[in-house]
Amino acid sequence: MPVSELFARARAERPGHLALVDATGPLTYAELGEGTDRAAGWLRGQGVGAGDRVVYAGGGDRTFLALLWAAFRIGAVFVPVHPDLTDDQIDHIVRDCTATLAVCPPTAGAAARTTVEVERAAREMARTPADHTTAEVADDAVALLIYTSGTTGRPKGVVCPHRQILAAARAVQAGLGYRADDVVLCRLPLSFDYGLYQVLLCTLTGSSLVLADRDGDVGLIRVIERHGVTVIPLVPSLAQILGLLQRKLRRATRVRLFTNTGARPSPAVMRELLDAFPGSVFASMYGMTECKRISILDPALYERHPDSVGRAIPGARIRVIGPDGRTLPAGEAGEIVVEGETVMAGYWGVPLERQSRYVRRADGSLELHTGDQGRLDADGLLYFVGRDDDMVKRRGVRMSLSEIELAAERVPGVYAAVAPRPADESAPLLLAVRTDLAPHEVRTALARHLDPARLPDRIVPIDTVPLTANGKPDRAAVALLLLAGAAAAPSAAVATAATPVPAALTGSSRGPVAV
Amino acid sequence: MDQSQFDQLVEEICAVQVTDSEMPLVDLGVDSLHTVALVMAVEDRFAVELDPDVLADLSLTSSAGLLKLVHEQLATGANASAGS
Repeated sequence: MPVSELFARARAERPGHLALVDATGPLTYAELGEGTDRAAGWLRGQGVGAGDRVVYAGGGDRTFLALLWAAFRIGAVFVPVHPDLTDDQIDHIVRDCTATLAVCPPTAGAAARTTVEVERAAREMARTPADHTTAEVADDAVALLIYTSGTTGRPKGVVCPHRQILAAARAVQAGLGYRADDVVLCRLPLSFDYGLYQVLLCTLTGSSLVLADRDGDVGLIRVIERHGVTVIPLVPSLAQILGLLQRKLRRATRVRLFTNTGARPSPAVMRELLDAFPGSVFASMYGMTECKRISILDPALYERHPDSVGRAIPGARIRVIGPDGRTLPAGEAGEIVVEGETVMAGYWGVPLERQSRYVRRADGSLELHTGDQGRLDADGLLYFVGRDDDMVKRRGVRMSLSEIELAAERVPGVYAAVAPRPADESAPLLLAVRTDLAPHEVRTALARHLDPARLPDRIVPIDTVPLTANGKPDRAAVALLLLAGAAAAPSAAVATAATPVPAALTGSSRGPVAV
Repeated sequence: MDQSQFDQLVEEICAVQVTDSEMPLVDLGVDSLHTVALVMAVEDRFAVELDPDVLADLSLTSSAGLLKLVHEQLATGANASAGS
């Protein structure tokens, strides 16, 4: 079954139900369907056919969704890219996937057969007559290319066939249980697969998607109230923003579920957030674009297993292997390896023998070597220990930077911790923390969680955690920040001075002042 | 509170240097979390409520623009009883 069938069903069964709210306003499934028909006509008018790649660099709105569903339906390959990418970065993607059509700034898309600016595309679509074409699309035809950064080289396109996308959407749905009356607040970029799958999950369940962007952060609680939001996918910074807003506003909401994948909010941040939204629960997940989702922690288990990222999703099998490639017993840490229905079809245009992450199994299927370190317990719960490129050796001891960060984030009063990779084995190990504790207090508390070999040489308070475009802590940027700080204050003061923490971030209030 | 005092408040909350009061906060390096923290701190200090719709383009808003908003809000008197 092609992915577009999800939308066809929602459109047929729930035409009058709210499909989407974007900056322009609300849209029902029937209305979004009309937009999709026009988008299909427009794409075909641009000469796009089955198998052709369409690069789209617009924001998350009705135009994005209409083009996505139209591309799926005519069998084209949709390639979403973040609107903030530079022309040079978009150009790389356009060339790499040999795009037929690039909807992006003209200079960025020059290498495509046709380039149309986002606003013009939206205007033209609105004037295009509906086109009901539905192509015959094989299950293993490619539906999406999602570009992702690897450890080496430029971003590569993860090949996502219809079969795997559907399997992933259904498996995640089995774990999270979105309901037909849910209203999902997506404040993540749709070019990020965690954001994009919110579209698929909502369509699969016929529920409603509210798209927000960062400019609206101050009004998020109002958006949550006004639209009756029930589900919120998080990234750590969003968890902190919501906690901060709600601690002041204390509004009654219908929020019942928070989810997270990738870098997790610290337990302290998560506890505050769950307290601020009474009745809500938290599903911690793990995955990577190369196979979408790997595991989901049942919210009922979060209290007892806050560090776990849960069990394998239906259809996925997880094992942990040692350096020799052999499967390790429960409890031992090694590389996380995944096989099953959601493992994507490798990287676009890269011969399989050069794809170290994907390994062909005896039955012909692909197995994903995640490069992440983890362990399974006897009950099949997965614990994420760190990324491979996270692993460092210090004084002969192998350790993961995430392990140190997670330990620091278990300290009450530490809101975020980032350990940039030391330049070499003898360089000092620094830990940047956003905290309202003094560095020596963090150090004392941390010594309870970490052995001396893993204790950072210096604890450096920071006020802000730089994030990547996808909202994950940016270790490289933190390293630069620390370098700049060291240059500005070359004395040992950096290691001991606590930076004043803004009142709004600690919850204290100074009260009104006269002007 | 004059502009330079307000710039100091922005610096304190957002951990950035306000080199130009007219420069959009985002160009000063203020991230989304600190933007929210700043608005909340400003609301606390001046005992006003800023309209999220007016703030929707906050990433384009400068320190000077934000102070202007605060003054406008105070002038409307909507919060006069709670404020100064």
